[in-house]
Amino acid sequence: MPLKEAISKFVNDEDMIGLHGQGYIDSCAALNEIGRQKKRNLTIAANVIAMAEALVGLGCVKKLVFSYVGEGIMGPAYVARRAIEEGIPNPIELEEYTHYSMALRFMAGGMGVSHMLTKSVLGSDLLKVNKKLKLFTDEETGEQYVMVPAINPDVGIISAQRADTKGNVQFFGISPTCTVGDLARASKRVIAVVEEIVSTEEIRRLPNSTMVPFYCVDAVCEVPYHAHPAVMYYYYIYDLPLHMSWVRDYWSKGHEAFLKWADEWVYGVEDHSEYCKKVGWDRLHKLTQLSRKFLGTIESVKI
Amino acid sequence: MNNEYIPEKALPTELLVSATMRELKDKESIFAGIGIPLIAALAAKLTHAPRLTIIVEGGAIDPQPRRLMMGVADDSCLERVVSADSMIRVFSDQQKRLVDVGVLSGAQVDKYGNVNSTVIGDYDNPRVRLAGSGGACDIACSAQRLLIMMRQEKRRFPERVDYITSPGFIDGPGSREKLKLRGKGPSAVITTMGIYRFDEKTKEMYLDSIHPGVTVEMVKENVGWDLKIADDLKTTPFPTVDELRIMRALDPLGFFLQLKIGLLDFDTYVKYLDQCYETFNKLYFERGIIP
Repeated sequence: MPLKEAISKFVNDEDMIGLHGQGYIDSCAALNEIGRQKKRNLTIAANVIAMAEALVGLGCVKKLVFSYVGEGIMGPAYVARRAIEEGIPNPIELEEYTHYSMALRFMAGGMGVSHMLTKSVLGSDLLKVNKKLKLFTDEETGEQYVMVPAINPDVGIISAQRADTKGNVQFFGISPTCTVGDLARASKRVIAVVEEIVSTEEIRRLPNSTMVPFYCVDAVCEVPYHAHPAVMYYYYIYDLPLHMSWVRDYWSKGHEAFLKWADEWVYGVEDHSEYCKKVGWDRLHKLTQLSRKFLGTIESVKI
Repeated sequence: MNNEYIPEKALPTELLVSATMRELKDKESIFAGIGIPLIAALAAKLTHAPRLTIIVEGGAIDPQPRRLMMGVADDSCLERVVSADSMIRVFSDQQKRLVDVGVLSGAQVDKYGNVNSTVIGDYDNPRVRLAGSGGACDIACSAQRLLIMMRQEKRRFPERVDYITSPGFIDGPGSREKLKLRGKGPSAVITTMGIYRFDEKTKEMYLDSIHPGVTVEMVKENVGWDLKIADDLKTTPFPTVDELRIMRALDPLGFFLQLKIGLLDFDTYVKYLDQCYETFNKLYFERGIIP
């Protein structure tokens, strides 16, 4: 299904969107399309709010459920901070966790249980500011744990390498928050964005890599370079210079500058293929070449 | 300049890296984050600790990257790993006490080793909103030995942090024991001016070693409480020539060692990566990491 259609059909105003990519392998194409379609009052649930902070600047977001809001080595999440500290373009609500507890929330959601237990978070001030985290005492040992509530996003956006048309999604590499399987199972509706569609026969050759079975998936969208400027393992490396220039030249320089970026990179292109043309296919292919040099290809990890 | 490995001229960040390297022992496993901690871990692996297992919170176990990692989920973390797993699994391993060392950093650290990386000022009405815990709190709770890396400035060393993101010894003796936290708490705070450790009885941070060229007065001016000094105060040795050579080879453009991360054009980026590929491979080979 074209990504445009999938976003229009499955993402509604007021929805909670779940992401699994740590900001680095999220499907930027899907995020940009959500922005282009001007969805409103969304809650974004993700361990890391990095690339997704653009949706805050685009006025799509009312709440962040997260464990880290920052652009990593690029610096602070300027866009999200403007919303948090100054209410620009609109004030947003925060619900905060730690990486482990947030990932456990997705896992619980995917397992169909109300809570998971952890020894993390104890002793921190998070217990004081997040009332959804509660203490649990093991009656036998008297030991205390923190009860982490399940999360069930309305829409999970799965960012992966390949799938068949039925929705069997294969993911290769590290799973930097929960796994794509946890997010898919936790979410009420699932859009899988992949680099390429392959045959079911091909899927059957490497069944260990099928992290999401077809019965969890509502839409499969084939969008090459959909995570750019972020990474897709074995397909292309991180376009650090482009992301850096977005953050330093636009996002850090106030809301006006951010909107200029949006006019150019979100509203200014019809879809992701036009976006790729704007980035330049030569550049994208170079990122793929480098990925092959450093990591190899899925072919080379095949049994 | 880059070929001049003069220990006496090492930058404060290089002293920080070298001091951190020396806290790591061969055969240990370490949970290390992007930037200075990973440079220290990789440099330790390439010098005195070849069997150090690096774990990156994105789920990568024992990577051998041919470039510096730019994010915990960057594909560099996935290079030549022995296991490509998930964040949820590696944090579970840590909770299960399977990981020896954790490293974290923050905006503030206090005298009990509590770290704040969430907010300056009031939580609901922040003066500055920082990135939040990420994995820092999880590491502080469960790492068997915790290292804290900080830039030394007075505002970063208050008597009590504005907000405890990552628990150290919390309110002092007995706090961690009461909660039965899985990790043993902070073992050292390593800064651009010195190395601090914690008193076994009071759990209070004290100055254990000062970096060359730094005086106790300078340190005291940059700490927000009446800091105690070790009776046998040491001077941190300079980085060795080999340590300097390795750490600079790992960060040839000075992204982290010289805080030079910033705008760069695509061609420079590609050239940088190609150069790293050669240098890292050579280092791994030279040190017997890659046969």
